[in-house]
Amino acid sequence: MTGLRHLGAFYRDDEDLVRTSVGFLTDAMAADEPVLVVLRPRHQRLVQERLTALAPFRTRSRLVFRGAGGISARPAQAMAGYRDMAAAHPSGRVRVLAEPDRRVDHCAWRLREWIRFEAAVNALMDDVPVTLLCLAGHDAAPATAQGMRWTHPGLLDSSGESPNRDYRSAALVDSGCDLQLGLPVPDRAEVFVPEGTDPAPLRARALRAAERAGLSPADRMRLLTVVTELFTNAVLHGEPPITCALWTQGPSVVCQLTDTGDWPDAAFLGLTPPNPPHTSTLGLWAVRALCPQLQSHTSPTATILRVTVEPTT
Amino acid sequence: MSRTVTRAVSAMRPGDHACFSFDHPSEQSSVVGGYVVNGLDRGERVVYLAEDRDSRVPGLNLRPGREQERYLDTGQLRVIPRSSVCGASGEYDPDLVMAVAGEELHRLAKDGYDAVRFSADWSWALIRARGEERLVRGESAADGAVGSSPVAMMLCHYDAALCPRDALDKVHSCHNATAVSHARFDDGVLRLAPTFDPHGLRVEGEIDVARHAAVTEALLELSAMPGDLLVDLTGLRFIDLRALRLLAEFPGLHRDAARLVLSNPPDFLVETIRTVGDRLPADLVWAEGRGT
Repeated sequence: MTGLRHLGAFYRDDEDLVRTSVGFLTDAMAADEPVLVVLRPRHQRLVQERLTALAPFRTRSRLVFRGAGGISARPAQAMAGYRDMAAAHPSGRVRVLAEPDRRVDHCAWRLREWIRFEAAVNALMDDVPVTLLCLAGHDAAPATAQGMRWTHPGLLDSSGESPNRDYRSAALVDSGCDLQLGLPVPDRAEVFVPEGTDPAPLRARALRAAERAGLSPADRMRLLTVVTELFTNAVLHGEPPITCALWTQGPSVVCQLTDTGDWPDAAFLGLTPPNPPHTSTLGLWAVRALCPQLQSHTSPTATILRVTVEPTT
Repeated sequence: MSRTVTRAVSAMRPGDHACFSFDHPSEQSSVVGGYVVNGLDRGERVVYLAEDRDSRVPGLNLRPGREQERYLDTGQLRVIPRSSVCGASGEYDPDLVMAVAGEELHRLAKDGYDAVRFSADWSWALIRARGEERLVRGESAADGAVGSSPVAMMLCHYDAALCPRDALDKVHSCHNATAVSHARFDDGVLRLAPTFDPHGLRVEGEIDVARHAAVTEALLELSAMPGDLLVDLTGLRFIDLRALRLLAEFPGLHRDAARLVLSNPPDFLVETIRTVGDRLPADLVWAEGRGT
């Protein structure tokens, strides 16, 4: 039982998607491997119909279907879900059949976080006995298709599996997701250096920014939680001074913290799920779980963490 | 006396003559027990004035391993009967109080102790006829003597339910300190206050890294009492992830500590726990019917 197999497949049309998916699922059923299916609702329905037609009496209790909206919106939970599924079946392999939700094609941050997630799978699940097949249509946005090619070591098509020559290392992809953190913050940002190590004054300013942006009470609490966790992390593990910048961006609030310490292990921040009772990664994992737009940029002289809290839709 | 300071009972020191009024017997047990145990742990003598020699010191026997007899046998704890400070009429006599205290101070060094903690519940004396007048005289004299002593401190307690408010205010003003439970904390962002019926801690405000130590200290102090410790979160406005972990880990990390039972979580906390609850190091325990 080897570790991760992470494959990408581009489908031409619905029939191609269904044929590829059903082939993957029937292979899994033949091998008695459980599968988590994370497809868009229409694709999920087509795949289920074909499975029923092909094998109406076959039990599919080891197939679990979920909506595809979770990966870019809830990457921390998705990563934890994959790992938990593998941990629940220690004697064999598990499979995941997934595709990005449609919004990835139209939303820059969702695209960025989906690409980061797919790269993180390569970096963080290398030793996990799981086979992931990710699907994207030939009509996907060019950036989505490029993200597929950067993050999947192998490609699958009708002729079989082949190495992907466009594949990039996970660390390179992750750092590329956060290049804009090297740019100055907007002029309208409220920039300040909190005195001492008490996060309460930062929360008070963040709350005022949330009120200006019109965030709901629940989203305000998400903001307060994530800025407190990032500040606490900088206090405990970074180097002073800690510079805070807060600004509104339409209906969202952005908070950026910069300290002068170097943090070489900051890649895929918040994507490693804490495993009770060992919960040292709980704080940053919770930040990512509560707010998928978590970015980081490190250099020998500074560590920058940025979180963007947008209204829950 | 305008020089009254508020002192956590665990921070009392020689020269403190502190007044403590309580609303519930368990509040008396918690605060007086804490004061007595602190003294015993520091190797100080404790002199407790009680109804008779067999009376129990409030809160002492409730703490595991703190049997009153053990300390009586070694002489570290002395229980003085109330009759020792009463005159022929059976009334509280300030002069006798000072005489008894003087005798105890006199024998302190001979018995090998560096410091002494006095304590008494004076409610019975205050509610008698002319009790207020006698207590004001006695407490004023004690304030002068204890306030200038490098070895003595005194905790006087009064049952607020029994004592008239005006009389209580007057005797209170004869003390140089007001004693409060150590579990009390208020920095303008977070307020912690012990509750006594049920036994627990009321949390109001925000818990974060700057306030974890205060929460831990309060929980440790209150969990020295037997039974579950109810943590009322009605007034909680913010809690960080480390504090959630602290609450989950607390019983496991502190072997003799009470089980924490959380109650009345605000909506935001329910949401946070829905997201991260299964990643905490241990399950949080919720009061029946009010949990998440």
